Amino acid sequence: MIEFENVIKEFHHKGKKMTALQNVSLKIEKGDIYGVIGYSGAGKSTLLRMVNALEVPTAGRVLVNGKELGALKTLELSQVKKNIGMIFQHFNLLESKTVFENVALPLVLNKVDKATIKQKVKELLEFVGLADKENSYPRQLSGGQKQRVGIARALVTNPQILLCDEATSALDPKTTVSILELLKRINKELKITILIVTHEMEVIRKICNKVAVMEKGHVIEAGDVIDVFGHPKQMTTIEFVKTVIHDEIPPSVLEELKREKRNKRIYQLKFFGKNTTKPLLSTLSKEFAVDLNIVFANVTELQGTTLGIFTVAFYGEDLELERLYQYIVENEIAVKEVMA
Amino acid sequence: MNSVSTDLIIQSIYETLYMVSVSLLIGTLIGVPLGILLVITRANGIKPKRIFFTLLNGVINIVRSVPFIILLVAITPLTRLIAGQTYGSTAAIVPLVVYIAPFIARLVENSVLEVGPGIIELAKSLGASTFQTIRYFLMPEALGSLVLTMTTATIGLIGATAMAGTIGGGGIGSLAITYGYERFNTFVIILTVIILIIIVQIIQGIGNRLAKKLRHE
Repeated sequence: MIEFENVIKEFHHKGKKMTALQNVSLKIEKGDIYGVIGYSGAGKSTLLRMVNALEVPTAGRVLVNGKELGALKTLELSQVKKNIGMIFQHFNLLESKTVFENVALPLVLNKVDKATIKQKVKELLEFVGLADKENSYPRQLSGGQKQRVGIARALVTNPQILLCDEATSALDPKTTVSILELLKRINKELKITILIVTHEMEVIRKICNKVAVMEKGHVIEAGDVIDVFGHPKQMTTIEFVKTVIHDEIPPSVLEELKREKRNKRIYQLKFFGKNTTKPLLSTLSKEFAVDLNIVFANVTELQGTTLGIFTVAFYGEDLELERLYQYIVENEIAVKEVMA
Repeated sequence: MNSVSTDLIIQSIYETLYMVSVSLLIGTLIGVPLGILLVITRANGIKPKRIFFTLLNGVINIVRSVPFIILLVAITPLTRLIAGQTYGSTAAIVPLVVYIAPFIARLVENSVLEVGPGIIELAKSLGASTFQTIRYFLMPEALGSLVLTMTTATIGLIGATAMAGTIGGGGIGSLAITYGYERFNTFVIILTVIILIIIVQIIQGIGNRLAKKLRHE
């Protein structure tokens, strides 16, 4: 649906060259909710803006529905653009227009007739839950309501793609959740592919099926959310994952463990999906001559599946502990030793 | 009534309103498009045109630098060409337009520049043409501020009409100068100033109210 091929973007500012994107390649499939996460200045917004040609790559290609944007004539490009809706961090609503007029705007630009506009706008306002606000002005709305207007406006032309530029970053956590649920509904019910740029891991966790992590103009990690969350490799990814999935032993428990003199090893176990429900711990305590103590546990729901993290202290002889470790590895459970 | 008749005062008010309204109308027709051109042709505008912008910007600055009383005399040939006369209220309209149009252009420029970059980004994302961006995005968003701008321009014009008296334009301001100031008639000065204060208050009041309504506050 959207493809980035070796995209490079350079900016020139006061004679200085700045590279915003360094050889980025990504593929977004139809039906994806694809999240791009990174700290500010990582280049993620620049990447997003290339999809509707608000930015043009210095080198490389951007393809939407198989068409290379750089090779299109003005008219063809505007056709492609009409197939793409966009929502913004600060909503970008016209303060001088009512909610109805704001949502109608893209259709007015396309010279659609009044009756169709009226029907389409009402339909969209109904969909986003603002049917009673059509005559209100943006100033009279809350942040969440403003973003709903932005979403209705982005969808009024029946696009196949929705671009979200930090769409929840200006909202409080509760409102963020409701907007994310709406985006998920748009993806499921209207079959719209969503590309979302954010610095909040919560957004990725709640709705994305794919994620790309960006740093200094590079994509440093990309793939299914469950894989990237389960096995983060790069430092930045690990930091992001930590913001939503806790896997560290609480300090007080750690102190306790340090004081204890019994021979022990502490293993962190990660369970995905089906593995989560296997009775591994009870098997371990039956099959091996060890005592065990759970010092930390966390189960996170991701894309309808679960990621469980258990940190367990095992007490026993070195040989037995080694055998136990091998057993866990053979059962295809991600395990690593944690120092106490 | 202390050497000025009521008829003269009413005549003067009429002359002031005539000069202000006509020159404001023509000045707006010239100034608003120039102001918009200043916004869109600047370096980071939606249609950058460096040479055009530099020229327009320069000309506006030069005209705005000339004091109105000098302008009034300096453009007499132009006044004769356009108005067919160089004396009277109608003749005064030519220099008033030359004075107010660049001022309006500058005020419009400021108002339109206040429209945030987010709105322009939105227009681009919706594939709006330059004309559509001005018509559907910039102008509606700047309207509230533009009304205040026009209020400022109108009040500036009222001040300028006082000097139009030097070429026989008449009006309240020149009444104050010729019958009040030059004849040491304090009563006439105070009377005319009160009339001017009332006119300015009414205009500013209308402007503020309209702007507030347009901004949906």
